[in-house]
Amino acid sequence: MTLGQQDLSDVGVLIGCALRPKQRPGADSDYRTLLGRYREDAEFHNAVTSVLDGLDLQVLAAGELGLVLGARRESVFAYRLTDLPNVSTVAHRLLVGLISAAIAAYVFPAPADFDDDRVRWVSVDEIERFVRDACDRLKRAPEPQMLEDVSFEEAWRTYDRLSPGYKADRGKGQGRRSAASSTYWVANVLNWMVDQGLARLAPNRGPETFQLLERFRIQVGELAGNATYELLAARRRGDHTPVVGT
Amino acid sequence: MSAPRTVGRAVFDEAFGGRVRALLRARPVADAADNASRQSWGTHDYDVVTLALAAIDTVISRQGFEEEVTYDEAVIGLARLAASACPEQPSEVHEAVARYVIDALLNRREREAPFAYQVSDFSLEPDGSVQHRAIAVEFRLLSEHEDLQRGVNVLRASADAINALVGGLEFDVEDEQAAVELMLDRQLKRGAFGQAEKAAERSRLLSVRYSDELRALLTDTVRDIRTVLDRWARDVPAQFERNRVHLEERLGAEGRLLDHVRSALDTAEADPAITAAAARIAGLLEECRRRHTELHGRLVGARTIFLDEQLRQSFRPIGGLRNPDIADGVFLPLLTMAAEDAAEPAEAFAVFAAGPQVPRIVRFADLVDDLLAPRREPRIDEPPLDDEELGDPDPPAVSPEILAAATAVVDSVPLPARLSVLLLAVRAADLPGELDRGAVERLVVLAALWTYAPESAEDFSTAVDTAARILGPAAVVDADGSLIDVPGWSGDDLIVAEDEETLARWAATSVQEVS
Repeated sequence: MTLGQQDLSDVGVLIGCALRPKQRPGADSDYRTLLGRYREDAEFHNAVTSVLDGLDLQVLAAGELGLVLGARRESVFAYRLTDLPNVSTVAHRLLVGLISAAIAAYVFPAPADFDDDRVRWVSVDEIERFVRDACDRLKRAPEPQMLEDVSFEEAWRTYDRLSPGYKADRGKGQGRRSAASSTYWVANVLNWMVDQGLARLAPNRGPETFQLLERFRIQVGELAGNATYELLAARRRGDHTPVVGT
Repeated sequence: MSAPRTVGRAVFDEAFGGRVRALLRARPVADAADNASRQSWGTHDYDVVTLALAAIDTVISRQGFEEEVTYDEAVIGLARLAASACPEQPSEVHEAVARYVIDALLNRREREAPFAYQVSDFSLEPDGSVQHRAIAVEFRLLSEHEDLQRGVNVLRASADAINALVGGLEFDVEDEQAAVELMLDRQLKRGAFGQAEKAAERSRLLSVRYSDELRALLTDTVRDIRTVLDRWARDVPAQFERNRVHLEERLGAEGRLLDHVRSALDTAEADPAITAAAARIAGLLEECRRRHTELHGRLVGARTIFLDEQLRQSFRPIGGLRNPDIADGVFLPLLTMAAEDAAEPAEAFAVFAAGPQVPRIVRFADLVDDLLAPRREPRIDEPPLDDEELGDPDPPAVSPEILAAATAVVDSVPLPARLSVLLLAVRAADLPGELDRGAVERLVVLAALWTYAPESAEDFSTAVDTAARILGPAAVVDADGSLIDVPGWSGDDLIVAEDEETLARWAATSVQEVS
């Protein structure tokens, strides 16, 4: 049997559902049916993955959460960090990246932690303290002997320069938090993760506390962690154009 | 030294450690009961141990089914039990007790970390001396998981909790199940319903454990098929076949037992206690049968999952199969790299983690509508201005962008600092393109000057607010006679500090430097 026009249209419907991270197959019978077809019908499966491949997307998981997609950097669907509020410079993008990695490192400290699907919580305060502690440890570490490069400044100093800015902001609400404070950036990243369906606010657990969702575990465990690791490894080898996320 | 005669030899047996570990599983419950006396409701007659066991049982009752028990449901259930224990207390207290019990089982106080204890392991050396080793034991009782279909958080009991509740069963599940059933059958024939009920309860708990075993295998398969490939090739097909036959038997056997109990229900009109027990057992068996049916379905689907995963994972890059090491492999390297080199991979991580974003495209129809829309007229019905306020013109307003830029620059410079440093920071800062750098500079200078020597202007509060917003609420400014050396400015090079204290410290250190 070859796929007809209706089938190809179904491929489109399924991809459309997958691109809406907050849509769940449990609540949408069409989505559920098509997802079942993706998992059982090899031809349909291949059609979906081929179309996705053409869009520079890949399937990271196909379970009860629905199709979870990962985007390669060159994809039109790849997130542009400049769409985040107040992100305009390279330093800002560095901050967003560092804080994202910090959140992942905080909740998944060891590789084996990715196998445990229990719920993880983080608060803005915890993440700020986590990164601050890492910065303090690096500050105390003996200076490496690198005489040849005077202008060298490590990435952690970009974060360390930001003030935690918590006392000055107490009682004034989050809106008044200065963009030069680290907590502003941590909150910014976590709120962005909420928008992307990776986290949700957990007001019962304390102020500015978030629950990281299964989707976050999948995106980091299946794609972001290893792809970034490859990128860093390639850089160490001196190769600046690695092929990642394929 | 020879082994002291006062100690029994059993301490050195291998099985002894197992008993210690089994007993340890009850520690968190005992600790929770201990700490309860420090709660505000601690003096009342709430039995934390019983409530904790009831909580685990509640969770197990629906574990592995479509709709598992949520945190709130468990709280409601326990609160109801608590209410009947202390009816004179208000319902908030019952709920607090219920939350306390479940939080204790989750170990929320330590951010859901596993319970960790140290146990002693004694061994007898051939020369008769006693060796001691401290062994760390870690386990969880309850944990919270995301229900992927409903998007809510549900509770699951760990194998530790299930085993501790069943009573340290270490037998093969299938044999144990057969034994329980035989026992139940015989007990029913003898009319020993109290015992039979206990046996049925155990049979149900075993079903839960069995279901978890299967879940673990399938999870491993989905995660990384290579780690279980050997098992799939050698043991699993035979095991599945055995399980399937076993389940079929079980479904039949439990159906027969159910009939048996029901017949007991019909004949035992003499003793209402027996009738009630039989009815309860019938309910239990019904649930067991539902569980087995579900397990059967899972077994049938297991092979498909295996084939699916084999197909899916064969196309994954090798690197994708192992779990990433975020802390040491990604986060620390990023922190220690040069900032300019780290920006790109750090951004890559955030982008990969973000998942896809659907680009926003302007709809042509909307664009045309917006362009053709009539220009919005200013509102005509503005309230007439009061005559009294028509005196001085408003002070020239500072645009919020400039204010924000000035604040950001000052925040980026560690205080105390000289005004010249702040001005140079403004010149070096990364400002949005259209912003007037001169205006930002002027604003910083004005804020410093104002804080140094406030002018008696009319609109006092605005100036104070603006200066405080840029330099900080308690900022102080002082001069020490040195002149500013920034092109475009002249006069004293003022010192800006966060508060009096830091200014005093600054003054002390600079005096030292001079002397």
